[in-house]
Amino acid sequence: MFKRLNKIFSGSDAGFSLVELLTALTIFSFIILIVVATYIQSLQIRQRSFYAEAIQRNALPVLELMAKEIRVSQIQDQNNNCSTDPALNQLTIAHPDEGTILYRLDAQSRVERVVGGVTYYLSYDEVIFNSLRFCVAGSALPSDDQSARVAIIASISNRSGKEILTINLQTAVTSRNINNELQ
Amino acid sequence: MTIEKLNKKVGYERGTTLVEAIVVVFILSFGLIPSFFTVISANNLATAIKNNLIAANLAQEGLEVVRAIRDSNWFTGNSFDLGLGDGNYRVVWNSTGLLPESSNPLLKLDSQGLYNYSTGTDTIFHRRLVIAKIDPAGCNCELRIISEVSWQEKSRTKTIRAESHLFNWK
Repeated sequence: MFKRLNKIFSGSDAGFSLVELLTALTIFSFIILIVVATYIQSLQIRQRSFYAEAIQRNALPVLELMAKEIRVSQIQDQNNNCSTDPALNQLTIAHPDEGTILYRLDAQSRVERVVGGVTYYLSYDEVIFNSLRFCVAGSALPSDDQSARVAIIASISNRSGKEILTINLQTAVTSRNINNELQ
Repeated sequence: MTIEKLNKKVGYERGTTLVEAIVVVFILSFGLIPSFFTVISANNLATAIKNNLIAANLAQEGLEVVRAIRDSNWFTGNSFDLGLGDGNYRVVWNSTGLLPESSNPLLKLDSQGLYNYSTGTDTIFHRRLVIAKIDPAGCNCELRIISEVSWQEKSRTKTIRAESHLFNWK
C-alpha cells in the first residue's frame, strides 16, 4: 500500500522546482506587501477623517454660539484691526439677557465662556484650540456710524494621534445691537 | 475510495491554464479596485470636511460684511444700497466698502490666522460677492447677496454659495 501511495504522490507528478518556488514566493511577498501597505495607509487615512470630523464637531457649535450671542450683544472691547494691532485673545460682550460674557481659552486650550463668574466649556478634550483670537471694528465710542463687527479666528487641531490635522477658521459677525450708533 | 480511484481522481488532473489564471487575476482585481476607491474616497473625505468648514465660514463672513455696509449707509443717512451696486466684488473682514473683483486673487492667511489679501501665504480659496438688485415693482428695496467661496480640490473646482437678501426696511 505504501508503495502505491508513493507512486501516486511522487512517482509520476513532478514537484515544484526551486526556481518556481522562489518565483512564486517573491510574487506572493510583493502582493502581500502592497496589500498590507494599502491597509495600513487606509487606517491612517480613516483616522485623519476622524480627526477632521472631531474638529468640525467642536468648531461648529463654538462658532455658532459665539455668532448667535455676538449678534444681539454690545461689543465691550475697543477696535482692533488685527493688522497693526495684535489680535485680541479674549472677547467681552454685553448680552441683553445673560449680562457680560467672556470668551477665551483656558490653560488646556479649551474654549471657555464665562458668564456671571461661572465657566462653561464649549469644546471637548478631543481637540485643541491652538489659538482663538478676535478682531473688532465699529466698536468705537462716540459712534463711528459702523455696526460693531467681530472677526473670530480659530486654529484647531486634534489633541492626540500620530498625525496632527490643523484647520484655520475665520468668520465675521456683525452685531445687530445698534445702541452705540443711536447715541 | 480505493487508491486506484484516488490515483485517477487526483493524480492525472491537468494543471491550471494561462487563460484560467488570467481570469482569476481579473476577478481578484475587480475585488481589489473598490477597496482602493474606498481608501481614496476616505482621503478625500478628510480634505473635503476641512475645506468645506473653512469655506462655509468665509462665505458667511462675506454676507456679514455687506450687511454691515448696508447698516452703515442707514446710520449716515444714505440710501441703503449706496456702494452696493450690481456686480461682483471682494471684501475682507473689516471692509467699509466693496473691493473690485479684479482678477479675484487667492485669500492669504497671515501669522495671526487672519484671511486677507495683503499679507501671509496664499490659501486655496477665492471669495466673490455677487450683488444684484431685486426690484419687483420699482421699490428699490431689496438686494440679493451671494457669497461664493471656491477652491481647487483634486483638480476639481468646488464652490460653496451662501445667499442673503437685504431689505430697505428702515
